[in-house]
Amino acid sequence: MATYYDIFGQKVQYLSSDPANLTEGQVWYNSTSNTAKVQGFSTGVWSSGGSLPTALYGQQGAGSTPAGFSMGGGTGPVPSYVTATNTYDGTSWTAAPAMTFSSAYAAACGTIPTTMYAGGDGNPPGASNTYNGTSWTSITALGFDGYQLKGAGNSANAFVAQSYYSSSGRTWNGSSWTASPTIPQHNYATGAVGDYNDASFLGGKAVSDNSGRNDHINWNGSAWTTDTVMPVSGDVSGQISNNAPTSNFWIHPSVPNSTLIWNGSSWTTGGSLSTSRSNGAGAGSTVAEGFIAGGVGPPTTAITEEFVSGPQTQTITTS
Amino acid sequence: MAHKTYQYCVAENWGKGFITHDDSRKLEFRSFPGNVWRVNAHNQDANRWIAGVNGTHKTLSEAQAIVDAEVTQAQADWDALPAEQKAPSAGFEVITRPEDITLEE
Repeated sequence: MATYYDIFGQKVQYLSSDPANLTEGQVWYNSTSNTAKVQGFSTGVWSSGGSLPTALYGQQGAGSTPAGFSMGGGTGPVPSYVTATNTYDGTSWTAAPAMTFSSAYAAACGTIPTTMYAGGDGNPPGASNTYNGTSWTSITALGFDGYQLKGAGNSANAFVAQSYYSSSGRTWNGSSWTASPTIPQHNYATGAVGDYNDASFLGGKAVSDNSGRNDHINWNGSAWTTDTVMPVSGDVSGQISNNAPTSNFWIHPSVPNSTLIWNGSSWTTGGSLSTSRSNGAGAGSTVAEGFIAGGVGPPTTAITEEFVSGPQTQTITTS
Repeated sequence: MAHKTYQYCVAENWGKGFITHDDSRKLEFRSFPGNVWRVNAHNQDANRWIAGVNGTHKTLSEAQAIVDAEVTQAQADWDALPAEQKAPSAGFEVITRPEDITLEE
């Protein structure tokens, strides 16, 4: 049997701490933790994170794992919707200022201090808010009921589309909304990723007949195009790394319980959530990180799970 | 005798660190009502994880009984909801009645 020396040309390093500048496949022994380690590559796995203060579903996510945001949501229909928001520091959730209305099923995007929250259900039709890291501000309404809207960008520039009640999107320039051409396939319960002038809308259900969809539709700031469809169809409901670029992101449809990774040309499948759910608050700034908080199995859950992919240091154990 | 694919335990998810990314790379986790967790059987990493989270091993029938009790309660709670909260209107999503769950060996 070939040894590590035969394959790699070196003996396994015996080190008191993990080395810097790791190479994929590199193996070492950490004499402080008494563990053998390898620098591997993960196609994407989930781990447990801090739970939300309250079990919710239909709330929206923004930001990233080390600086995440969860807004609104409910435990049931409209009367249960909340104004509450919470920020995530990668370990636990902390209460943040309440929105100016209670709402669920909206579009949210941006980082915590540049958050756009547009549309949704339960609030006045089309009512929208921005957040600057300290307080919420009411902005111009969309002009239609924004139930199930999704979006990309931030409080300064955003693009939102795929509301149940509108077949065209809206571009936000910091002061007003401008209508886009009609989207080629009008769905709801989708996921959106990217930026205001380079966004993708994925999956969902057709407004026409509620059938599950696998659409991958791109917006370039002026026109719609279609892209390689997802390998599964159906409800996404915002469980996506919504601040990542359209060329490389993760998405977790409600069914089946597995993550899909888009690399700009094809789809691969990553890991599963330990608590399967729909309508959780998803966010992430790259394909390498992100979270899904809350959602409904049923029942409604407060559990957060964190996603990572790419180069990862792994411990070596026998099993 | 059938070869077990999974083993079950009861453990409370305390949040960060309960399941690490390293755990997730090695094992297949699935949660069920009642803090019931399913992990791989005949697996030292799974045994280490259960011990590390202070999990209490459960047989399949014990785990099934815990899940059944939780699901029965959740179904009763759902049944008690007003009719308008259970009937979907066009395009609007509602929480559906929790379904029975059958654990796998």
